[in-house]
This record gives sequence, structure tokens and C-alpha cells, in this order.
Amino acid sequence: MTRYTILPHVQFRAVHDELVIFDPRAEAYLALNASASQIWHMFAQNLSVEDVVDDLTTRYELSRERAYADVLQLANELLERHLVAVAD
Amino acid sequence: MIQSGVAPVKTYVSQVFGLTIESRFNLGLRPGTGSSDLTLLTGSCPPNGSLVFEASPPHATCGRRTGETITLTWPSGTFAVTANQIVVDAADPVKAIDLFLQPCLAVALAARGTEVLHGCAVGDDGRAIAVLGDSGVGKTTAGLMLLDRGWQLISDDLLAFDQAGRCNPGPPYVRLSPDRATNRSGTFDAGGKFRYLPPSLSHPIPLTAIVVLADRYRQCRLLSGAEAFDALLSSCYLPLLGYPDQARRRFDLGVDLCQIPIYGSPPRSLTADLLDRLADGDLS
Repeated sequence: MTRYTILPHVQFRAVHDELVIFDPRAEAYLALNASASQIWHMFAQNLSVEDVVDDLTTRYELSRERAYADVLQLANELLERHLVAVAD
Repeated sequence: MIQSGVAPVKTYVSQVFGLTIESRFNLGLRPGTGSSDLTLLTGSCPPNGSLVFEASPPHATCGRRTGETITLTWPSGTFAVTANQIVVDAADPVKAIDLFLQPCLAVALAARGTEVLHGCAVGDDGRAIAVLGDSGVGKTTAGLMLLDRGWQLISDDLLAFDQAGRCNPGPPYVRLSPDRATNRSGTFDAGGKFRYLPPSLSHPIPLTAIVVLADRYRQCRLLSGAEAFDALLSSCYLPLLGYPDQARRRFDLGVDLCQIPIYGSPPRSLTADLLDRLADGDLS
């Protein structure tokens, strides 16, 4: 069960129902739309990818494949930006 | 007693963006009092240091950094800027100051821990709206529409915010091309621009709305939080200059300003009526 953990130096704040992220090491910002922000919050709650996919398919009319692809796409972008790591 | 042979030098103390500036030049700002935060003087400014940014014509300049000093170079003058001093090195310092005071103040403010945005802000009766965007998108034109309706100038070109998130008053003038001077009160400056002197606010004021003008917006609309944050950070006056915590301050400013309505609109798309409604948070 893959989990992603938000790296401790990363800061994030809510702006309305979306999220903005600041990486002080890279001096870089990232703004997430509402759906990506929900996934981020679930990563922050230590939910596994499977749990996140379950949540998204329950809440929205999304196929499991589509939800899985969306979660992995975001996770990969966050990994590339060194904002999250795969949890042990 | 004045010493024989030494002419007294008049000193002007001015107030702008919450700073008290001392200079032997009349900067055309509001008079200030008290000890100075920033001194403007003439001297030699060799353009040394590592390149921190470069802009292309028509705003040709480059910024170099040596220690705490950022040296800004234009064809008609070089300025060495720190948190408490601006040194002007130019054949015609008055003209160079008229042309480039605002970017120098932007660097000095950044060195002092204040991030600045590129825009025009006006206020009226508890409301205040800022129009942000790149050069030529209609920021000043939008501000003039409201000034012509009796609003008061907060700042044109450079917007600086105090610790409480209020917009600090900038210079009490709007620099206009001479063809826009008709029927407006003001004077021409050494840089060849007309300094229009509208009624202006002299105290910080919280903004009630922001409009960002850019090609990416097809019509005027309220931006989502993430869009608003991106739009605000793309409206910073300067690139990051490497001051400690500067990137975090910019992040905090963006998040704080996102608490008010932020609209996106195409360049040169605003009318006075629309601006008036947006300042009330009304896009109906």
C-alpha cells in the first residue's frame, strides 16, 4: 500500500478551497486546484493511494482507473518537485 | 555658525511607501519628518558583482549583486542600492532619479523585507482597488478612470504593503506621456514625463479588490485561490534578488492578498463602471 509523506520543510496554506505550497529549499511555489488540494490533504493524513482512490470514487463519479491515474500523476509531479517522498 | 567657504546644502526629507527618505534632491514626494530610513546621494557606482537579473529593451537594465548592494544599470545611469542607501552615478542625476527612482525603491524595500507588486492602486471612501499586470496592459489607464471620478491615488507603478497588509501610499503623482497631460494639473519632470498630481491618500489602506490584467483571461472573472495566487506572484515588480527569506515573504504576501477578491481580465478591458463594482466585490 503506497503512501506519500509530505516532506517536513514544505509549507502549505489554504486559499479558499485550494492550496498553495512553498518549498523554501528550492524557493519555489506550487498552486493546486481544488481536486489536487483534496488529494494533498489525504496524503497529509497518511492515507494510502488506494484509500485516496476509494475516497475519490465515492465522492465523485470517477472510474477507479481514472482516479488512480489522477492520483499517480499528481504524486509523480510532487515527487519530481521534492515536495513529497514515498513513505517507508 | 556657517563656516566660511562652505555652502550649506539643502536637504529634503520625504515620505513614500512608509519610508522616510533624505536627499539633496527634491524628489517631488510628500514631506517627511524624523530620522531617515533611506539616504539618496550621488557617487561612483562601478557595476560589479554577479548578475541577478537582466531585462530586455525598452526597459533595458541589469542588476548585479555584491554583498548587500544591488547595482542597477541603465544607459543613462547606475544606482547602487542597499537597505538604507541609494547612490546615483549619472551625468544628469536629476533626470536619472526621475526615470528610475521607483525601481531603486523597489530594491531598497526588498532589502528591508518588503515585497512589491507592479500595479496601480486607487481608493475611495473605504474602498481600494489595485490593477496589476505587465507594462502596457492598462494599469495606469484604469487608475486614471477612477481618479477622474474623484477617487484618490494610493500608488502608481509600485505597490508596497505594510505589516498589516495595507497598501502604503507611493509618490503622490502619476507619470504620464505628454499627450495625456491635457486638462490635468501637474508639471513635466526631467525625464520628459508629465507628473499628474491628483488627490491622493497619505495613509496606508487595505485593498478591497485586485484585478490582474493579462492575455490569458478571456473575460473578467473572479479567480480561484490557486489562480489568484499565481496571478499575484506573476505581478511581482522584481525577480527574486536572493535576500534572506525573500521567497517566503513573497509567498506570505500572495496568501494574505488572496483573502480579498482577485479578478482576472484581458488587457485594456476595464471600464470605470466595472472597476467601481469590482471594488465592492460585485461582478454581476
